Amino acid sequence: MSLLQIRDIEARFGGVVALGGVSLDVPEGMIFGLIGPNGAGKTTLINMVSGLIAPTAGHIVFDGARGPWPIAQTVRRGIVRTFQQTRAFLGLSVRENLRIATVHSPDPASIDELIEACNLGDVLDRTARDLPYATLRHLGIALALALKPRLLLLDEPAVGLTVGEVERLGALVRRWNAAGITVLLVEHNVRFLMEVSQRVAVLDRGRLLFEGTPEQCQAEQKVIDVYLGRRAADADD
Amino acid sequence: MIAMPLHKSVAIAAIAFALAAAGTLTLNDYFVYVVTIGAIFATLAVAFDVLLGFTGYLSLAHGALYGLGAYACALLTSRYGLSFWVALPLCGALTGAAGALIALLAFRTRGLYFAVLTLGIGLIGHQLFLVLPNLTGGVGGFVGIPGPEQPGWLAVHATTYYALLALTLLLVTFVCALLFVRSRLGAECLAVREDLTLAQALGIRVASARLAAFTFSAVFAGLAGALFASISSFIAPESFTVLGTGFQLVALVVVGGMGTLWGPILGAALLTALPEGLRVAATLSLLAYGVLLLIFIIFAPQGIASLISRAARRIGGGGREP
Repeated sequence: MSLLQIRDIEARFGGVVALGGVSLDVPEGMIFGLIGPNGAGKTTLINMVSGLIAPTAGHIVFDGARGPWPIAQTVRRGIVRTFQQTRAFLGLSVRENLRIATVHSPDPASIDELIEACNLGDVLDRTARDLPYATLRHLGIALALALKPRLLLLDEPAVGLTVGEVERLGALVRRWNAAGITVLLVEHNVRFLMEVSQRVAVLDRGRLLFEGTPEQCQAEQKVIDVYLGRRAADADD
Repeated sequence: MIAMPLHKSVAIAAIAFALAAAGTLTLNDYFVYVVTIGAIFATLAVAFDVLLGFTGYLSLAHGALYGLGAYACALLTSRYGLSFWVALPLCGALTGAAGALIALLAFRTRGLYFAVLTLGIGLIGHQLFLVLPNLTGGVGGFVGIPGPEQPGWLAVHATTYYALLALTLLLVTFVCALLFVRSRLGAECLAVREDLTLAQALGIRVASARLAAFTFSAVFAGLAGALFASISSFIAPESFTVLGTGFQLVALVVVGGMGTLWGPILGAALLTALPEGLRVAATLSLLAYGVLLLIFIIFAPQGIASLISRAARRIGGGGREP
């Protein structure tokens, strides 16, 4: 059985349908990639799985229990997210950030492990606000890892990073995954996502367009059409 | 902001307390009175800093909470004949409960709305002190509040005794505040201050953390009010206005340095001593507060504490963390 099952999740904001009934299975231990053009509903899906917004219809099943739950309970069950606009406690030092993230958890990760896992050793006493962009990203993810998640939701972690930084991020994601954390990765950077993920789903305008391995995905005409901005009708010519 | 070890902070506070206490024995009555009032306001400011500086919520209801503690003490000790030492914890419990209720209401809002809502509560509180003459003495004030009983072995003048009490309350408040901000709850309050959404996403119990901070500050505001009433023997609503005490607290904490605990003590010392020193206490102290607040927000928004920290680092040879 999959660790996370998403079942017919629907999101309507007034008359706008952000998600029109999406179902997905994320097996335990996997890095699962989710792509789609702007407005496809990727972040909305993350918001709903993490408990930030309640779906208007549908449900999730996590580790056999039926959700979704409010955010605090979701975190306790082991689903932790990061944010697209990286969030950290900007006015505090890296060390204090990690202390805050670990102090309230009954079973937190060790701070030393987090420092190691996210390459934060050299910046412990720097204020988060003064960190380079890529390092702040790592800190944002370290705060999520502090809670020892079973499922980590990464919302566009590669945005704004240089090629080298993206490679380093990819290595870190693989390392956390190897340590037993299932990852649901939402990403615009298709190359990064295809390299890191073992399985990929494509959302388009609130619907699931495709699901399969990265290789299948890259060969799939529907996906290519969406990403190249061509209509299916044009492709038929 | 690397904090020094707890025992070191407490030791410094205890030494400062001992020096101040010894100092009051040598001063004349007028200066002892200034020290007393300064210590009471410092107590208020330290308690307030837990909410404003460490949790990031600006409350204008604390003037009324301070007043609630004062009137409760006045009633309990004069009308019900309780000893000050029995009344004091009751006043703290009462204002703590009132603070928790206010918090439950006010934390439904954020930012500016929180400040405005607590402003409303501060105004209501002040009005209640005016329109309930049976309980408060109304506009004429509450007369004849017994002073705190002085133990026989402490052979000092009553005014000196009051100053020692005020300094002791300040020390106790400071140590309790220190323990609070260093605790798990304190860490959660910092998370709320820095980024509420992230705090929630990390599973931090935002509601209980900020409720605890508000209640904490309310308890100690009530204790300060109770002591103020008992040593003044007379209180009137004008001591508990939003603009007077409520705004004054904001000024003390901002001028002293938000989120430091010791900065607000310096803020209280400066803002009590300055108008007294200039002999304009009665008429112009609010003006002095306003002007100082203006100057600090523009030129040193982190307050006196950060000026001192920076100077200390420069003297200490650069790179050392405060």
